[in-house]
Formats: sequence, C-alpha cells, structure tokens
Amino acid sequence: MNEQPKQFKWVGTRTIRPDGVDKVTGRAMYGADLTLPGMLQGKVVRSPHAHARILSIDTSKAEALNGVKAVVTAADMPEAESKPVAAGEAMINFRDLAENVIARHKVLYEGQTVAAVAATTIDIAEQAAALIKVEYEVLPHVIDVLEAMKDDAPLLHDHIFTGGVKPKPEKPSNVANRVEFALGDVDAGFAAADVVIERNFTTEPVHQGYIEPHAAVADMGQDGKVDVWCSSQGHFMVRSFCAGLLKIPMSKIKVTAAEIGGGFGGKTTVYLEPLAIMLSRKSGRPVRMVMSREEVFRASGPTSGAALTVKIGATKDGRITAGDATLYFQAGAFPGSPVGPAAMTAFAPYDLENARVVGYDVVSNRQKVVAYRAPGAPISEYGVESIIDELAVKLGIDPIEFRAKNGAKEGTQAAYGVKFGTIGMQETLAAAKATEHYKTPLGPNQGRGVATGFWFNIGGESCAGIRINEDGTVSLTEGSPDIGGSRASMAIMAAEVLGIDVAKVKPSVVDTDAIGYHFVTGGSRVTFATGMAVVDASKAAIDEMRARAAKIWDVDVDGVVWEDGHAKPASTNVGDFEPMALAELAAMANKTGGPISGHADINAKGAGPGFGTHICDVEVDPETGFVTVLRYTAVQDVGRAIHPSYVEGQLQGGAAQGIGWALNEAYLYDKNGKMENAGFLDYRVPVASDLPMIDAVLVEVPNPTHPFGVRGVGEVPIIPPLAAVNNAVAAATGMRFTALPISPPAILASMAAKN
Amino acid sequence: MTKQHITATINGEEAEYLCEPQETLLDALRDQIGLTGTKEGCSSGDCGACSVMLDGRLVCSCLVLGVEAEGKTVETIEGMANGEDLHPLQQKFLEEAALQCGYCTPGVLIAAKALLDINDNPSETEVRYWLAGNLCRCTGYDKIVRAVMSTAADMRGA
Amino acid sequence: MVRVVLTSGTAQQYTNGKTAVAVEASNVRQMVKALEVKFPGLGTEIETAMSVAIDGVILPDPFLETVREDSDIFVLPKIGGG
Repeated sequence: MNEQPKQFKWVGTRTIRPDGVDKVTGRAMYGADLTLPGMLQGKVVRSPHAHARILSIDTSKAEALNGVKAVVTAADMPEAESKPVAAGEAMINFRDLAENVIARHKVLYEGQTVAAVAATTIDIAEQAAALIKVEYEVLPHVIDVLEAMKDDAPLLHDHIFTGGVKPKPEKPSNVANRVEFALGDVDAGFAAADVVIERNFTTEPVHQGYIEPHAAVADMGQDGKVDVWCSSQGHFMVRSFCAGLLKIPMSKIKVTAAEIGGGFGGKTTVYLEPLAIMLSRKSGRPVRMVMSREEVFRASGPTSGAALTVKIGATKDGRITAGDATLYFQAGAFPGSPVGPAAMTAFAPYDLENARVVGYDVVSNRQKVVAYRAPGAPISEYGVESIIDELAVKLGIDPIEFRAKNGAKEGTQAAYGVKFGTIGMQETLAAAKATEHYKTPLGPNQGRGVATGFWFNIGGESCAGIRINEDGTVSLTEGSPDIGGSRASMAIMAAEVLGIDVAKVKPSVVDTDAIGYHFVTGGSRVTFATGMAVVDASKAAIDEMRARAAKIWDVDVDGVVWEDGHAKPASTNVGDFEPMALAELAAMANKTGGPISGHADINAKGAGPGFGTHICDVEVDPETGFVTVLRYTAVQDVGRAIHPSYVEGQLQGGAAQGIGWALNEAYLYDKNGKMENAGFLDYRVPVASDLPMIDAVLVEVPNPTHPFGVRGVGEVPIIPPLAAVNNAVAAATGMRFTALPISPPAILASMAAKN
Repeated sequence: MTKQHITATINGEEAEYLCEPQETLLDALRDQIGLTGTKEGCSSGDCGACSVMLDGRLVCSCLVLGVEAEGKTVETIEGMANGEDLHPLQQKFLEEAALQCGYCTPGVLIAAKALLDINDNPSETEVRYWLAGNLCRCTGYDKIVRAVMSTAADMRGA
Repeated sequence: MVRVVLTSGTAQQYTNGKTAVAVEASNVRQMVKALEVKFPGLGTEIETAMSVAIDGVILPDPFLETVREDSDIFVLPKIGGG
C-alpha cells in the first residue's frame, strides 16, 4: 500500500480536499458559470481554409444586425512585436501568439480566428458571425511533418529561416529550428555493439481532451480597467499576455482563475481572453466567450504529431553502447513544438556514454501545438522504450533487468548534460519487478509490456501568504490554479509547519491583484514550488509569532522557539513561561503589534526529476484487432506524497491518457486539411469500460531540495504507457508496430499482411 | 422566435422558465434557472457532463429540448444533497478522492445514483459500462469506480 | 576561470563545435556577459531562451548565483511543462 511512516502529522494523510464539497454539489464556479449584469455572448469567426491569404474582411452586415454590440478583427489589436516569451512548454514568438489569437494577414489552419462578435444572445452572435464576409486567396497546404520539410512544400512563413544550423540558410523554410544534444561518440558506440536495432516511428497529433471547453468572461469599464474570469492554468500568464497583446498596463487587468475543468497543458496560453476583452472594450459591456467542443478541436492546440528514427546498440550481455535518435515534430501553424524537451528526455532514463539526438521543429497547416503533459517526452521515449524492449527480447534479458542494468543513478550524466542528484530510477524498476502483477502468468493472445519514463519537472515563481485570523484559524492565499487537488496539499504543508490542525487552514487561489506573480500550473511544479512558498510563508509567520511571544514575555526573540503549534521558551534559562498556542497569540495580535502574517515570493529552484515504470497487460482479439487492457500498474518515484490519493490520481490519470494515445486517439484530416473527427464520438478517448483498475505504486525517494522532499509527479505518468502498450501488443501478437495509434484497423491490416 | 413558457418540477420544486423552442434543457437549466452545476462538455451527447434525470430516466440534457421538460420532473446535481447532509455518493467521492478537476463529477454522480437506485450490488463491469457515457480525463476512472462500489456496499449495509 | 558546458547543438551554433568553454566570472551574470564577448550571440541566447544548471540543479533565472572554478556548469534550453 502507499502508507507513510509516522514522522509527520498531516503530510501523507488523505484529508478531504477543501474545495471538495463545492465540486460534488455543483456549487463550484467554472469559466462558463459566471453571469454578469448586461453580459453579452461572444462568437468567433473561423477560417474554413487550411492555408489562405486574407484579402478583405467586411463586417458591415454583422454590425448592422439588431442585437450586435461589437465586432472585432485584427485591426482592433495593436501590431505585436517579434520577441520570445515563455509559454508553458517552449519559447514562442509573441507576434505568432498575436496571430494565433486573431489572424492578420494569413490563415494557417482550418479553425484559426479571423474575427469575433458580441451580441445580446448567442443566436444573434451566431447569425452575425455568418454575416461577416471574409475574402480569401486559398493557398496550397501541407500537414504531414515530413511533407512539410520538402523543398517544394507550400511555405507557411517567408520570415522563417531554419535556426540552429550554420551557416544561416538563404531560403526560408518550414523547418523552424534544429536542436542537437550529443554525448561521447555514437559511431564508436555502435561499432562496439553486438546488436543494433533501428526503427522509424510515427505518432499522430492528440488533444489534451479536457472535458471543460475554454471559457472566459471579460468586463472592461470606460476607465480601461478590466476584470477577466477564465478557465486557465495560469491567470498571471493571462494577465501578462493580454497586457502585452492589447497594450494595457498590467495593473489595470485583474484576472480571477475560475475553477478549471482540466488543462493538461492545453490551457497554458490564451485564445478567448484577448478577444473577450476587445469585445468588452468596444461594447462597454461584459462579454462571455465559450468554445464549443468542435472549436476546442479545430482551434485549440493539441500536441505534435511526429516522425522519428531511433537506433540503439547493445552488447550481448545487455549493456547499451550507443543511442541515436532523429525527431521531426509538427509545431502546427507557428514555430514552437516540444522537440527540444523530447530530444532531452529521449535517453534520459539511461546511463549512456554515447548518445545523440537531433530534433527538427517544423511548421505545417494545422492548429498551433501547445503543451500536453510532459511535452514531447511521450513521443521520443515511446520510440526509445520500444527499441529497448526489442533489444531485451532479442538478447533474452528480462526487460526490467535490462533497464536496471543501464538505468540512471545518482551521479549519472544525463544525455542532455545535467548530472543527476538523488533520483529514483532504480527504485521504481525494483518496485515494478516486485509487484504481484509482474509475476502473474498470461493466457493466449495476451502479452505484457514494460516501459520507463522520465521528466525534469520545474520550479519557478510562486507566492504564498499566511494570515493568522483573530480566532487562531489561518487564511492561506496562493495563486496556482488548482487542477488536481493542490489546495489540499497546501493546507497540509501549512498545518504541518505551523503545528495546527489542518482543518484550521483555509487555502484559496486568489486573483492577480491579491498576490504576486505565479508561473502557470504545469510542469509538475505546484506542490513543489507553491508548496515551498507556503512552507516559507508559514515559517515567516512563525518568526512573527515568536517575536510576539518574546514581546509578551519581555525576552529576546532568540529565546523563543516554535514547537507543536506553540511558542515556547528555548530553555529554562529564558524563563518559566507557559507555552502560548497560536490561537492565544492570534487573540492578542492587536495588542502586540497588529495583524500577524507571513509571506513568501520565490522563484523555486531544485525541482527533482521524476522516473516511472509501467507494466501493461493486453489481450488482442485476433478476429477484430481490438486491444483490451487487462491489467495496468504504474510505479513512480514521487519524492514525498503530501496527499497520497491525489498523487495516485496523477499516476492513474496520466496512464489513462497515455493508453488513449497509444490505442485510439488521433487527428484525422480530409484532403482539404479539415479535421474530420472534431468531437468526442470520433476522437475516441478512453471511457470507463475501456480500462481496468490502474494500480498506482508510490515509491518515495525524497528530493533533498524541498523541505518535505516533494518531487513533481503530474507529467511522468503519461510517458511510459505509449511504449508499455506497444510492447504488450508486440508480446501478444508477435508483431512490432511502429505507428500510433495501434487501432483495430492497423492491427487487422498487419495481421492480414502477415498471413 | 417566441419563447415558450415551461412549468416543470426541478429538484422537487415547481419551477417556471421561458425558453426558445430550439434551446436545450441544458441551456435552460443553466441560463434560465441559474442551475450551473450541470456542465456542458460537448453538446453532442458524447461526454455525459450534462447528465440529469428526466422523469426518473438518465439523459444527456444537451440532447433534450427545454420545452420537453413541460410537466416533467428534473433532477440535477443541486438536488442531490439533503439540506446539510451530502448523499452517500457525494461523501464517498470526497473520501476516496474520486475527482480531480471536478468538471465531470456532477454528471458522474447523477449517473452513479441512477445506477444505485436500480442495482444495489453492481459488479465492477456493470459500473464501468453504466458510466461509459461519462467521460473523465483526469482520474482514469479507477477511484470513481471504487467509490461507486464502496457506496453500494455501505448502502446495502454490507 | 569557470568552465561552462554547452549542448552540442548550441556549440555548433556559437562556438564552432566546442562544447566546453572557459571564461572569467564569479557569478552567472558576469559569466553570460563574458560568453557574449567571446562568442557573439551566445550570451543573448542564454539570457532569453536557456537555463543554467550549476552542480546538477537547473536554475531558470540564475543571474545572481555564484560560480566557482570547480562548479559543474551546464547550459540547456529552458524547460516548461504541461
């Protein structure tokens, strides 16, 4: 089980989350739940073409329609400067962000925003949208990543010259960037190998699939002050991007993070918020904008589809001598795919002397990609883990043992350069091997697959405020939108440090006026970084309370310690004083100097990387090609599980997304570059009847840089399933697939070809 | 379009609202009555986030017209708790952490209650197939299924 | 002198393929300035799009961090997440 040793009072316990009752009763307010007086409904006009020049936009008929209060186009937005900004997974160009919010000269994918309308009812807004006349010059389009790299491919941008190559190319290209990470000498490594396996893989673009569509409400007054309420993983990012795009001072924008119905990286950028603000400004009224499910698919970023070649060599006793990979990633309409992190993570679980990964960031006429849980890593590690499996099978070595033999340890230099500190790779492999699952025999048409995964996890900016209320309860404020139960962990950590009952701590995610800047909720950073800020703020509050006790006792503050929620004399030398509880000090706050609080504004560093090992059993129906996932175990080094249930939840949820990615999910395009399956019926995510129970095994190798040993956990779990499923299907059928998804038609076709 | 005047019983109370003929029950509940607990996820009946009970039948309210509720009873998530007391399913979901972002949760709870109202001892397979119409992207369904079965056991007094 | 290790891709771009370079500096800000002087463009690239790892710890905004002769310094692209 995942129970903790009793060194903590609250850390490691399964408290009821503080926002839980709101969520099970329908009281919680999400992006589309807010109604303001006089609120208008907004609707977006989207490009029907995958690639076209915008010749003209005529909004006159729409503006004349009764009930229409504002219409906006790119003309209503200042021209953006070309500069890099951090956007969840990669650096992107601010001007590209502006074009993606609303197109100015060209449309680069079917679904791109061209105009937006606000009207008194959604019906009128839809009618008005249909009255907006856009003249296009349709251009040839290209979607497939390898096709887009060809010399004669339709060119998306004439200002893109491949970066990362020397000398700088003279001709513009769809290849935006080339990255390379190398260690040692791969040619010598392959020469020293007894077995070398090389394969080409392809993966299709997949969507984060959050059940809640994007939603925002903006309310701008005639003084230029604007309130935004939105479903987002980062309300400070929303403020920052909107301020930059619309040239509004940040102090005039207040963004409140609504409860969010899933993000997984897909809500780390802006789509509707700038449009809603523009419409609100023009109409003088609040404007709500919500994407339909179809719009979510057609117009919000999925992750890259990719083509990759992976080659790994090993000696016959199972030591990897070299690893080489080339990755081609679709960035969508603008540069900025996660090919960089994909390249860095590909071989990261292994201690290699010789490794090289080259990656290409390629634009093509489809939705601009945005972060999706461990961006890029599931794709590159899928290729590597599949070949590792083939090597293990070929050499007759147990797949977990093979990985353990080559696995990273403390002190290993990762292929992307950094030397690992305390990590849990070996521990997760050992724990996986020890599971009852791994020993269970299989039946006919069944197979077992194993895979590991690695993700860096990040720290970043977070702030926290601890305010001691007069009755001794605590108001905890922070600014990380809560996508998976993080408020529960914040309260736990504060209670642990302060030494009080966790029920006395009320955590809140507050708006951008009420606390300092936070980087987005993503990168598996919240429990780590915001947790660190909460711990620091709690300690600061404790220091203040010690000072108050010192005042009351008329001693030096160094003579006061904090233990079990009480201020106590450090020793009998200090004096014979009764310990004072937090509540007592709180009641006397106004007499001892005023309100008591502690704050911390940090840029957390020292995020520890995470490793996971998954075991997947499948059964493949030889008549239909249908793959049933029979059993699934996800093992991961989680550092320290502050709230084990929500940590288990991350492993289970990530595994489910990875299984969907491996077996079913894909964007399907027609010959005009239009997405054909823009709905949940045909974009098939796993449903309850598709999956078995997912056993989450939490291994704890505490991260020494965090006060409670926390490691980020949210992203690692989506990485191993792709190869674990792939390897299981290979074991069940004897056929190695190199294209995802491994859907029934693909399996049947392969079976037919075999016979 | 002239709005229709509809009278229905919503969560045990008589309610009246105006809605356009083409408006869905989902939109009527959220926009006319102000019950925003029922969520919109897809508007095509594929995700179940809009699940409500209509005359005792589990439906996707995005596939029902607002006018169809005339004279009928509707039960939404807001009617599941009883005053200060949560329904056992709601309580169990909190204890078992059977939700992460919470967006699918109202629909899942309505659907799960509909199951337990007719089957007090569902197997894991029965729970999974019954909930197959409720998409969840966060949890992988494991804790949801466990919570439903555990509640069933509690309610049976097992 | 402090020794800075670059990824092979960055090295190909700015330092003619040399992945290990040395400059005089006692903190990261000085290091970046010195690198910009020695390899034009490299300093700017580090400031805008890269993280610095010192002794295995990745620091996204490290300018005030001290660096010593025996520090393990590595420069790599900024990492985000989803």
